[in-house]
Amino acid sequence: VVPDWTVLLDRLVDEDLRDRVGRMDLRANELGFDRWGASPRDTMRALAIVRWFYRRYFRVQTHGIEHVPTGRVLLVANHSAQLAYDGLLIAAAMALDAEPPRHVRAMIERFFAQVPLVSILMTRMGQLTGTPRNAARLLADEDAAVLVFPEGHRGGGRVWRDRYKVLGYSQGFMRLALETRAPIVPVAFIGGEEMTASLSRMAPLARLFGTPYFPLSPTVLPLPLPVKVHVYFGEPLHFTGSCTDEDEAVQSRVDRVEVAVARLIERGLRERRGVFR
Amino acid sequence: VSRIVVTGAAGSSGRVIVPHLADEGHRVIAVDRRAWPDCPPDAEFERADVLKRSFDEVLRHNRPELVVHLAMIHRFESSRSERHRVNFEGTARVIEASLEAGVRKLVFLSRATVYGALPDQAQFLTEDHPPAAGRMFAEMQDLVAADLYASGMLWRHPEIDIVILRLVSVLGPRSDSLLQRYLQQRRVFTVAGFDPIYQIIHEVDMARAVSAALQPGLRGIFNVTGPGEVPLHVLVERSGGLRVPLPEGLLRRLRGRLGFPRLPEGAVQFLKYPCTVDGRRFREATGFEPQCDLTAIIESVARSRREQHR
Repeated sequence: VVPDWTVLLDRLVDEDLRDRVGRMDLRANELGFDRWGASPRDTMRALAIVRWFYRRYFRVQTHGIEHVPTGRVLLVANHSAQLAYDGLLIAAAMALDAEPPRHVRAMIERFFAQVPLVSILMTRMGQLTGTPRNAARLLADEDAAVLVFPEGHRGGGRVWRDRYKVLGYSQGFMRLALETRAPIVPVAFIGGEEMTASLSRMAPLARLFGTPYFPLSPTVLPLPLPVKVHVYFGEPLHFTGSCTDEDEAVQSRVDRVEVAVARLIERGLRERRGVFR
Repeated sequence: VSRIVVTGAAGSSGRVIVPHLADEGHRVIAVDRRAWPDCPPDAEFERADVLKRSFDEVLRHNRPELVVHLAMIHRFESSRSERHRVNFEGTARVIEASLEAGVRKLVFLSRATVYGALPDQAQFLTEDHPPAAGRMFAEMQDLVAADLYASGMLWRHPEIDIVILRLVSVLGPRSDSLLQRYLQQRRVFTVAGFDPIYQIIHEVDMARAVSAALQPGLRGIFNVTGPGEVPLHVLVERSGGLRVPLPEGLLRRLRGRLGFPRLPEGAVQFLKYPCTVDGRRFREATGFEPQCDLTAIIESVARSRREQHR
């Protein structure tokens, strides 16, 4: 009854994608899935579509992607864009433009694991509900590249007047970095505020639908505006200490990352020639 | 060679574990309140109910060094009070009687499902994670309680080595696990838009794990995992099932009607979210390695299906 769209997508998968996904840190078992449920085949199919958006629609330009070290790493980015377009494009940058290509595991807001279809899509792409234990396991056992947005849905659902502001980082990512001795690469995503400008989080409507927020924006679905996207990767930051340190001690380290991301954002806004070009 | 009393021996796990232990040369005393005419000749069968005094008599008479406690009702057809009596009170009784009889070791076969399948839960849970299945699945409370009761006795009674095995879903030709029966239906209903990963183990590897747990000195709580993980849709399709995804609301409403399987409300959670555990502690403590791989396990389900629907 349902047409087999996987066949259509497979036609879009070319040698370059096969090569890149083949070299990614994504190992499947005899049935074609890794232990979290990710599928290299489906990742290829998704990337075939995402690549068009990445290269043609958003014309993504990366800066300093070579700063991302091999081995375990935490990518810490500013969050915007209402729906995870920023996470998707940062992951696409690491898959399509990093050398060697990396498979990024984003820590996803728990709400999305409860949404039909979204739940399957995120699992197939290797994206997980953002619990500290999942992230620690990925870093410690698999030397993964884990992407976190410490602003959480406050950042994702931010409104226009808060654009490119730091909305306060939670501490979880720093405790994770201390526990697993993973370096932190600050990441600035430029363009996310303009592609889906939102005027309100519409809290009553969000409560009605059980979502974290409900953007008042004409451009979230089906398509955000075709802004020019820049992704800046900063130099890795190394932190030492104990993951059980008191909040104050951890907070000073969190502030350093916050500042590093804010500086990258400033630089990105300074350097861009316009929103759409 | 040890004298081993196996409770619930005539159940689907017992039918695999009893012959396996007997083959290894142990003297196996199979205990069940049901008759078991097919009990293998190299094991002895004693008809007794763990909830009654006849069970104490079996222990007094046979003086076993080891007890393997399998007498649990995992199905949901029985009434809730019956399940509670057998699962919770039965487990408490078996531990108590074993202590009185001076049993050296007790292996209790629990399930990894006691952790529950919850959307905000991490994957590959370790033994330290609290068994939270009761949050969304009230009918599992007795299984969780039995597991936790045994865990408590483990620390209170150093004189007996209690081993609690939290086993992932068991599949195989003799298995009667919930997952096995789910996969053997003619049409297999799933929740549209969800496809959790499952951890599976072959029934023979289950028996090997129980055998590995008998080694002297081993005590504690252990997750037992098989060869790996597989998404539910692969499990259904590769074992030959016709997968019918239905929206969750419809699936809940049709439960127990029109030939739909009668499952408790909470069971739907296990069709939406993964419940996966980390089996490293057991493997490191015992050297246990499952022998049957994913493809072979699924093929064995497919064979059982073909026989059933022929």
